[in-house]
Amino acid sequence: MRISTAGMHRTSISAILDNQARLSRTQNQVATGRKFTNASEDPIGATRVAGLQRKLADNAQYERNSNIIQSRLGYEEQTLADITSVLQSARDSALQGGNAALGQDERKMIANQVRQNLAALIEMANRQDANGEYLFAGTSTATQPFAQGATGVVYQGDPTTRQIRISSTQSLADVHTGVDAFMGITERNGLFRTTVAAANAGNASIGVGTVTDAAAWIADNYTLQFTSATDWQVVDDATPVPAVVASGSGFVPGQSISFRGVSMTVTGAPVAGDSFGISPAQNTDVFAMLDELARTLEGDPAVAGSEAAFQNELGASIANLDAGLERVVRVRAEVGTRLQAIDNAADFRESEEVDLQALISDLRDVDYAAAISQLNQQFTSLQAAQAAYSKFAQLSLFDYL
Amino acid sequence: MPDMLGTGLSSLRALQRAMDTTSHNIANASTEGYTRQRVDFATRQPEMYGGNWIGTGVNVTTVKRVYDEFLATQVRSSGGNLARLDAFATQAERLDNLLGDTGNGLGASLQSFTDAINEVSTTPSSISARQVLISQANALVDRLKGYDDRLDQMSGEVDARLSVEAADINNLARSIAKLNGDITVATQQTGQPPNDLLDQRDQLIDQLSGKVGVTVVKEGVASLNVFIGTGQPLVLGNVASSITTTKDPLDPTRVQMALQTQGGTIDVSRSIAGGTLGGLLDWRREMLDPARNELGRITLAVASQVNAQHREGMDLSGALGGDFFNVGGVGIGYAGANTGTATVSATRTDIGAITADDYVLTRTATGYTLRHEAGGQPVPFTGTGTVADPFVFDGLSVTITAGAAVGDQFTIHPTGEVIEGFSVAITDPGRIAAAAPIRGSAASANTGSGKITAGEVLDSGNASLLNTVNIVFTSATTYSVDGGPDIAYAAGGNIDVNGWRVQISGQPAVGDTFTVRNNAGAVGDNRNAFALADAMRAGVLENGTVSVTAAVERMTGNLGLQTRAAQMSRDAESAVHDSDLASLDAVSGVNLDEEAANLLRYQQAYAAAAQIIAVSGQMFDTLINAVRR
Repeated sequence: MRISTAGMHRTSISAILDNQARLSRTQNQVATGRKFTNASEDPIGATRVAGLQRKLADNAQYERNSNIIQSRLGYEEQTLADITSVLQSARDSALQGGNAALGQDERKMIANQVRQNLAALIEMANRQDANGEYLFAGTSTATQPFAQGATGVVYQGDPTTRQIRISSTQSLADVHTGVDAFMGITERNGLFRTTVAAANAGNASIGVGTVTDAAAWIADNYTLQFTSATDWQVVDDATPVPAVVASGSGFVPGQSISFRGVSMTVTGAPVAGDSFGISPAQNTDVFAMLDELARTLEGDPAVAGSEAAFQNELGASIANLDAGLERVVRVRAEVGTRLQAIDNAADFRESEEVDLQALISDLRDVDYAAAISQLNQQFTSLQAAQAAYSKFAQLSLFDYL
Repeated sequence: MPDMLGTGLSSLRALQRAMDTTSHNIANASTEGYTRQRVDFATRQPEMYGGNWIGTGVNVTTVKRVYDEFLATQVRSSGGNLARLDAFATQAERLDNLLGDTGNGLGASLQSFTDAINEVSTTPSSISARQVLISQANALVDRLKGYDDRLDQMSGEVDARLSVEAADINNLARSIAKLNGDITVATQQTGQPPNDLLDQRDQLIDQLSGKVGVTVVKEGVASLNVFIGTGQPLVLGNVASSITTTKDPLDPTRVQMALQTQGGTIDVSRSIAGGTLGGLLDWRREMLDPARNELGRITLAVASQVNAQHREGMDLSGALGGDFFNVGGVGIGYAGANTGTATVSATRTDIGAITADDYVLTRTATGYTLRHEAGGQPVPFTGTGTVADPFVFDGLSVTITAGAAVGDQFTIHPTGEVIEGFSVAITDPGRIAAAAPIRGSAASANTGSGKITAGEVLDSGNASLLNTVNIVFTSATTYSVDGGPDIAYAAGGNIDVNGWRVQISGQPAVGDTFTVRNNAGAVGDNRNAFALADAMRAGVLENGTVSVTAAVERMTGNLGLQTRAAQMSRDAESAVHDSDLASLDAVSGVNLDEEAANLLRYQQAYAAAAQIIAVSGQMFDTLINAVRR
């Protein structure tokens, strides 16, 4: 084939330029460590890498979210531990106060201790986290959740718990609200309360009672009446005409009396006309528990007018504190579960991150061994093209004319 | 009578022409567009002498170009194609550089924005987290506006280029027409081809082909007619038409190219198939406009997702959240040729159904027709265009006032102007609605096990939304809302009142009370911020299947694919053009070694011819001397 001189030069130059372009591309890959920087160089790979990077960025955000919620839950856990010991100490005080050998002054000293416990409890329930947010105020985090009101400690927060996302599929409740943690606790045995009538002439007291068959219980107000020292009957006050639902005779002190799935122990000696009230349990809260205990110990006649009533109230306080402790323990267990979920999510995130990084690296990172050997090859071929051109460009027939 | 002197002289003359031509070839070995020339020799008319035909020497019959018209046409056509694909690929690369950065493009801005929402969701009462969210939102707006401006500039560059190139094309056309005239005259006068003029004309046509892509048809002996587009005549013989730029009738902000003929002006913008201009116009139509519309669509999706959720929230001051972003409306264009007075207005009714296309609404004698601006396929729609019964199609609702004349055209750009009006509506960090506006709560005296959910907003526009509502259980199986009639209780069932929804589960006791009230003061509530963060990841485009972040990745990927395809087409066409050029060069290009050999050959022949003169002189001397004796 006939070749024109200009064409020959053009072909050689364009071969050299092509080689240079290839070399520059490989050199760029080696310098940046990446197979591509723009989507056009590998559209499929770039789109996938962008998706994977989005997942990584999302994970980083979830990690920050987790750290914040973790520190708050950790703080809640600490506070609940403190509160547990306060309630425990109050329970000890109640047990101590029940000692019949103690005089009224000593009981008042114990009551003082309980008052201090109550103040500590309110302080703990009003704790703020590192950002100055009240821990137990629900989402009204700028409002002090617990304040002393006319009828006891009232909750001023709200019942909403915020959710925090800790993975693409999982969100977790933040710290508990004050209501969830400390309020709405059903008093005593969870079903009914017993009281000693103020007018009783005997020294009989009544225990907190136990539930033997919750299904048989009907939530009404009842009166346990002693018609003599040994005969008793239980009257349901709720029906239009009070009706006797159970009765017995041959009562001896310390005997337990049962009706409608519940039973309670009457200690001491009742006399004819003594009565005891039995009514459905009401809701209380940990602050009211301590307040009531203190008032019982202080001998507040509105709470306990007689020794019999005092013993009954003290028993109730201990049962209440047990219910309160149970609530706090349950909440602590929930906190533990949440902290565990955060750890699990973190473990999963870490292993996912390793996977994602490996995938991204596969798609985007240069294989240096291959790239450098390619670089050498391209370098050699450019050199060869240049050498060939310089030799061939010197050839001319005119040199021989 | 034949004579040696004459023969020798003819040879000297012919060889001199041959050496002239060789020198010309050597001189133009590097001239772009030069075709090597060759001298054709022929014997002169023999003469009858002494009963024999005696040759009388040599003549130069013609000096002609060694030229293959077929190859030259191929080079021209592949050159035009290459110019088109090269322009397309070059522009595509610019777009890819702008939007295709996988590390820190639009996707990164969206990610930062979503992260900032998440921060507000974890620490809703933190003013600094809220401030960061507003800053990130502004950064997102700036980024999108930056892209939009850049794309607008690129589109403007195409317009500017059209105007400049029009003048260039006119110059080329005039030169070709003039050469057509000159070549015809020269050919007619001498009967010989004016080789260098032919080369010049070919080269000008090649240049023209590189700009707009041309078809060339030979007319008569020496004239070439040049057509552009789908056969619009640019040069006919020695007459050149001229190209002007006019306003695009559908979009007066844009320029189009028109050919001025005696019959009027013909729009050729849409039919230019080759050359740089063809590439630029293709690129604008196939990549730039769609990318711009897609950006608008993504912006619209972000704004509508965030706004819809933000409106359902409550800010730090206890007010309902308004819009978070402002966006531009639907763009309406009026064709320059409209004679009626009708005005069009359009609103978006379904963000999920909005496409990135533009539409053209045309008034006909009987009603209206609607088509896609690109491609021209008809678009099905319902309605008559009145306020009561608007045109409804692809997530849009369009009304048109009376007064449209038949033939009037209106363009509708659902997403084209979104970014223009895009801004952050909130400047005060406290105005970010991270909280939900209502909350459900159970009375502390409740004795049943009933629990109420915090509640969600169904209709943020309900006037009674924030009113306090008490749900009281009148029996274990019925409840009453604010003292209303008894309603049967189903555990976990929806209770919808005043534009909100709550669920009560468990077993409430008689007299148990649940209250839904204004959530003002819940500065730590993150329910709405949480929902906002989720909304950024939820599907909203393509009828709710594609999230905004995925849409960005898809757009970037698509641009990358188109750019890659354009580069590959360009590289392939470049190889075709190189090979065409090599084929033509093989025929028409100057080879210096060949010319050196020719020079040597002609020089030797010239020396021999000179010897004929010398010998003829000696013969004459011999004869004279013999006679003199």
